[in-house]
Amino acid sequence: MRKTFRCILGFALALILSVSTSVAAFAESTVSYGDDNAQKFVFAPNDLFENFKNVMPGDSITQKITIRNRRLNDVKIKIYIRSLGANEGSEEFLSQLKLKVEQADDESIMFDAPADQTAQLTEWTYIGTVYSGGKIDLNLTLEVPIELDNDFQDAIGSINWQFRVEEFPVDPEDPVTGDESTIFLFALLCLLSVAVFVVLIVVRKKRAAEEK
Amino acid sequence: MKRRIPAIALVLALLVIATSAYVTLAYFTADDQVTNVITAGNVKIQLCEMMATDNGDTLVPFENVSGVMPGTEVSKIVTVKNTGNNAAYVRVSVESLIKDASGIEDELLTGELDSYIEIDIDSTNWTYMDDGYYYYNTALEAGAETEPLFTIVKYSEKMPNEYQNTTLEMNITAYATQKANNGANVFEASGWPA
Repeated sequence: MRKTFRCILGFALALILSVSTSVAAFAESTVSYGDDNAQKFVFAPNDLFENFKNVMPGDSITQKITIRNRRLNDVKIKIYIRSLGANEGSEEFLSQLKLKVEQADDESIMFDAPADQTAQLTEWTYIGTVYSGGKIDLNLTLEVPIELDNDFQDAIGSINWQFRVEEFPVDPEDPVTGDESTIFLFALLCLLSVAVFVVLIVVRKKRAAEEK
Repeated sequence: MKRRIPAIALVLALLVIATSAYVTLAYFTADDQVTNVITAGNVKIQLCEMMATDNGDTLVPFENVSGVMPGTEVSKIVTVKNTGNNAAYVRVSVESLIKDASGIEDELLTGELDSYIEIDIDSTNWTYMDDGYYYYNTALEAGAETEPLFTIVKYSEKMPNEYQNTTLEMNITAYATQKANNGANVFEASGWPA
């Protein structure tokens, strides 16, 4: 009986753990503002073009970037972006590639030009307003021409982007928004995990007392 | 006194407006910069020529063999290794010619060479096409190596005396082109290096 109980508990724990990790496995890059309620950005990974590696002639690759407002207090943030262009030595390679940046919500195009240029992102460009817990998605597409010359094998190009945020207090008239992600599920899973551990400890203590 | 009241009211009103405007416009700002990197892939191959040792147990890098007599075999194992990061299609050209003792090509003997030299081409994994290349039938994944194109070069017993003191020179060249975005198979692929 004890063995069965132990097995069930073990299985439940494993299930909780696997569900937690699988839910968290996103393949997108994230720009978070306000992690730990700090007024700063966190880029994850440090390079937002995670999918644009080892690109080959003829490739058309997409990359999703999610911008999140993680400030705990009720603030809305206005997010802006601008491109500082290609780093020195990158220009020739990046000029061969075409980069498009569009808003996921309305598919409005924010940037559509050779990747070495700053084009529509030369000046600070407004991305949108995000409320606490909210997010905005950007969809990027990189086109690599099939005619890309052999000389560009193993080429490396880097582009600097800047993000700016302006914080505002939320007005009572503002619409109620928020992150509709799985935070509730995570909280529930945490609670469940704690409950299972508590049960385990109680059972163990009870058994120890019985044995005495 | 009567004139002062509207002035004070005006100043107060302005103060209220200014304060409310300040409250509305007050905000924190933060900037940060991120460097985004794009890297290009590559297609790299290595032609491998090995030979079996006399007892046949070990493979060693191919070295020129001299004094080969008619009716004998020379071990020459030709493969191609994908040393790049991406899957590639592979083709190989094999050019054989006969040179006399002074190192000059004997075109007549070269022309008759096919009758006296036999190469055990692997026609299961390689396909000879009219353009003169042997194509490896499947794409070669990064890090993989082809099956040998051939392993033995056999001198025919019927090889005439004219071939005495000559040198058989085999020029083998391997080519690769990317698999990605490049046709359904090796025969449809384009972009082969010149």
